This record gives sequence, C-alpha cells and structure tokens, in this order.
Amino acid sequence: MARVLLDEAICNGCGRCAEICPVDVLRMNTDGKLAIVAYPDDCSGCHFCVQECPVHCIEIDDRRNTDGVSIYDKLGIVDRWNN
Amino acid sequence: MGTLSADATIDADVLVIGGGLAGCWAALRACESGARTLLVDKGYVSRAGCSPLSGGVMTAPLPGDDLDVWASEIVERGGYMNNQDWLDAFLEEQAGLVQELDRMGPVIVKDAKGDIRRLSSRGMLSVRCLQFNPKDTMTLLRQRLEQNGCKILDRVHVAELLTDADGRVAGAVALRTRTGEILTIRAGATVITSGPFNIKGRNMVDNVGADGHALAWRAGADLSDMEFAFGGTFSLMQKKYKFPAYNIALGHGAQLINAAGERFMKRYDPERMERTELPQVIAAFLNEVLCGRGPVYIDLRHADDHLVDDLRAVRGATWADELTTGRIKDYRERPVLIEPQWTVWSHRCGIRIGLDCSASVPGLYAAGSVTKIEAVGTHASAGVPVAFCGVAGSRAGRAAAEFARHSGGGAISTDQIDSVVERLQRTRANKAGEAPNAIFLAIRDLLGTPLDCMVLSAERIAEIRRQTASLRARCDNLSAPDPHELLKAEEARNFLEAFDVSMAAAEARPESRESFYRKDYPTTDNQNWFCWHLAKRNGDRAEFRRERIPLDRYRRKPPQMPESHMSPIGRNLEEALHGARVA
Repeated sequence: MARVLLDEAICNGCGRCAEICPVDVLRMNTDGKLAIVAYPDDCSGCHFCVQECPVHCIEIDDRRNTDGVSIYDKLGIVDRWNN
Repeated sequence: MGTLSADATIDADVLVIGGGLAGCWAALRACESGARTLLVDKGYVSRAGCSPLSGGVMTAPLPGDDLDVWASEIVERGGYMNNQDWLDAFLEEQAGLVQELDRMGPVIVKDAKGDIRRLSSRGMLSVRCLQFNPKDTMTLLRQRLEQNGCKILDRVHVAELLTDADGRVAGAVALRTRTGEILTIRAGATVITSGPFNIKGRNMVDNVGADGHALAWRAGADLSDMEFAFGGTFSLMQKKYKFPAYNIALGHGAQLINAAGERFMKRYDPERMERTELPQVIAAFLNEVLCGRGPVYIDLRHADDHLVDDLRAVRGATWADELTTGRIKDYRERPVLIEPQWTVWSHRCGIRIGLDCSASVPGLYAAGSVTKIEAVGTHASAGVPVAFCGVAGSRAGRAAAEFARHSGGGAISTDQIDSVVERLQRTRANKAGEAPNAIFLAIRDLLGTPLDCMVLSAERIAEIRRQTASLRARCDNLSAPDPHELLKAEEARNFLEAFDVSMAAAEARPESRESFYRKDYPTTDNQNWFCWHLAKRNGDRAEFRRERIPLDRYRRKPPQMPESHMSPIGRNLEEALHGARVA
C-alpha cells in the first residue's frame, strides 16, 4: 500500500484533503485546525490530496508491498540485467 | 422486533448509490425529471470511484460520422457478443452527451481551431475518442447537481436494499461512515452506480469494491457473465513501483523484451505485438517466464522524446508516475523490470440491465461499470466503458424517476430494517474479533500472482471456493471499533459474496473464452457457450442460465463462427502447459 506523509508544520488546516480523500484516510484533528493521517494503512495512492493541497504539505510514498503477488518472487526469478 | 430502528429516516423519489460518472448523470437526469433525488457515496462525490482516476478517454461521435460503421467495428472487436440494441442506442445518445459535456465547461481537449480533438483508438479504424479532464468533469457535475437541487450525502455506505410487500426495491439502510449514524432511506426507485468489480488494495481505486454487485445479488437481481472477473495490465516495475501508462508508453515506442533481449511478442502476434489484446499479452508474458525466458522488461530506450511529457500529463489526470518522479533514474539507458497485475478488476461482468437500465427486480436500476456493460462484447475499448457511464446513467435516472412517479414506494417492514441494524451493531459491539484488514490480506494471498488468477481449473476453482467460504465464516467474527472499520467489514463481506458467485459461474463454464481461461477446458466452445451467462440467487446458492445472443435479429453478423477453437490465452500458454513452443 501507499503511505501518506503529511507535514503538520506546513498544513494550513483548510480541510480540502479530508473532504476529498476517497478512502477517508485523512481527517481533521479534534479542534479542526490540522489535517491528520487517521488510517495510515488504508491509503490507496490516488494522489488527490497531493494535487489539491494549496500549501503542498503532503507527499505519497508509492512503493507497494507485493508480497505474495509477484510471480518473479514465486518462481525465484531475479533481474539479471540490473543486479 | 422494531426495537432497533435506525437513527434517522430520509425520503426520496430516487436514490442513487455511487457518485462517479454514471451516478452523477443518473442523479442529474432524475432531478431534471422532477424527482426528489438523493445521491450517496462512501467517498466524496466528484473524487469518488474510478471516474476521477480514469484515463480521460471516451468514445466521441460527432455530427457527420457514420455510426453504423463505428458499430460494426465495435461488434467485430467484441467477438459479436455485444448487445447490439444497446450499442446502437449508446452511439446515438453519446453524440448528444459529447455536446452537452462540451457546453458544461472547458474539460474537453480542443485543437488550435477550437474543435474537439479526436484520436483513433487501439485496434480501431473508424471509431474516434476524445480526451477530457476527468477530475474537472466530476467537479462540474457536482456543481450541476447542487444547482439542480440534488441532495448529496458524502461518506454514506449503503448496507442493504429494502423491499416492500410487492417485492419492489423501496429504499435502503445506510451507514454514515464518519459518525456511525444509521439511516433508513425510503425511495420510490433506486439506481446502483457503484463501479467495477474490484478488490481493495490492488488496483489503486480502493473505494470501489463489490458492494453494488452484492446489494443487487441479495435483492434478487440477475448478474451477468460474472466469471469474467479478472483483468489487468503491465503495472509493476522493479516489483514495487506503479507503472501507470502501459498504453501511452506503447504509443511512444516502448517494447516488451525477455531476459535474452528478444521482443517475444513477435512470436505470439507478429502483426500487433505488444498492442494485441491485453489478456493475450499477459498470457505470453506468463509463457515466457514459465519457460525460463524471464524476467520480462519494458524497454524504453527507443521511446520517442514526447514520452515523458505525456506521462506528466497523465499524472495530472491520474496518479503519480515513478519514471517522472525520479525513483527509476536510468530508464532511457537500460530496460526496466516489469510484470503485469492480473486480479479481480472487471467492467466485463455485473448487474444485468435492460435498455432502460432496469435490473430484474422492480424498482431497481443500474448503470455504468457495475453493470455488465451491454454495449461491448469480449473487449471494451475506444473509451466505450467511460462513455457508457453517461448514456446508461442518463437512461437510468430518467427511468427511475418515471418508475418512482407511477409505481414506487410501498411500505417497508421494520423487521428488514432491524436485521440490518442488528448486523451493523453486532460488528461494532464485537471486541474480540479480527480486524477487517486481515480478511483483505487473506484475499490477497488467495488471489496470488497473475498466474494464479489467469490459469483456472476445476481444482483451482474448487480451492478458491473452499477458501472463500472459510473467509466468509471469518467475516462473522470481525471487530470494528469505529465506523471506518465497520465499512471495511461490510466491504469484505460484500466482496466475498460476489466473488463466490463469480467462481460458481467459472465452475459452471467448461470452456475458455477471451479473458477467461481454464486449462482443463482450453478451447472456446461456440456451440454451447456463445451466450450471455446469467446468475440468480436461490437461497444461498447461485442458479445459472444461458441466454442466446439473438444474432438472427441483429444487423451485424459474423462471417462464420467455428464451433470450437483453441482460445487465445490457451494458444499463448501452450508451450508452458504442454511443451509446444510457439512458432
């Protein structure tokens, strides 16, 4: 899954990310002044929040955990050109 | 009973479930027809579902086009399995929708003269597509809905449909996914527009799943061609990075090569190579790696210089691109390891609808990718699925408003409402159960690699069904400390219920056809299986029936139809499975 990285020092609390997040990972904190990553395991990496944050305080780490789904791993095939 | 009633009740003429393109058009047409319309979505309407993440390509007929030629091409490409009545209606109405979308705002790409710029689509000679900005389009649609008086409720999950004494769908029980409030919605007609059949955690569109399929199924509606549940594309680089744009990369000269540096697709399809139908490219990929010629690389060394510009443009419309963000630095110097995903992801199966988008249960309608897109046959291309959302959404909204005006809205028994409320409350109250994410991880393991999802057999299907049953039993003991987790528990249950129908359909189909492949029945059996395959619920079981495709009545007929032939996936996997090297 993807990871949301939110810089609270830059967040201006506009709430747009918490409004639009398709999987409801981003919420506002209890006083409603800062966005928080409420469900870090559930980010799907759509990047809507990154694209719409007016102060650019969000990044997404897209590296995927492909345990159990890569056929290269299953068959023990290695990248011979790049290793 | 009657003691567990919901927290609030809302009345509407038309309830629309799902706020993507199909749902927004359905709600808009219902409003324009004078219906009090309620649109609900688990996310935020305009950023929900797969519509704002779409590639921004849709079929675009304009005045002067010969749509009969277009239809013939789409039918030929679809293996003559299209519903041609739907296809003709679709092309005719899409011409009007293109004009309407263009008037709505500046979302369509134009040429220097200000005319709509059109592209030819993969494998099509006549059919033309336009490019549009999906997110801006969704924003405009939300604004139009608000201007037309549509009531929009974001962060609302529909848990169950409700029926009246006459068996009509007459509303729903829903959950507010931030507050936990439970709503009863009384509606004269209901439209499901909840998007394609999808598994969370794999395809980057995680608020789409199988809720709509499961709701329709439990309400008794027919589902169609559910075994065609799998799909995918080349999307994983270096085993961990998303590759967002296989088709765009091909257009700029990208090639697939094996470990020996051979452009292997020339052995499988010398004419179209990497541009042949994706199931066949992925089967060829599997054949290469199973025969010891893997891994496979995408070779961008010869791609033209516009590749990066176009990838950046796509990033604006969809998700980030690892090439342009610098994580894979030397892709112009050496090939990049790539593999496909082939898992549950399909627009090719779903709720069966008539020409007015009615499902087989009165009061229930459906549109968009939650339906088995009737206009397309074996292969959806040329932007048809996206365009179908607008046309079918429009038809569904108008028909639902009409039904609500004349026939909808009987009384709902409190027992029905109570049983859903009880289900939701039981999961919330369970402190000792599993977290829903454990189920999604187990589903990931069950689906496994692209090989595990592409190469089916009686044994593999039976094993999937056994494990699906065991996971469904585990769903009875899920814990949800808050409404967010409760939604996920519901999504897991719904996925597994629809997936079991899908695998029961696969079990019932002893042949292979296009994206559906069984190694124990590798040939395409047109004598028995050139048909639509319908599933209906009977208690806890699925009952299937085959419906003849009325080619005798249709205008476009195949030149000749062999009784049976080796399926394309079977042909490409021949060497790996039976030791015969492809020429």
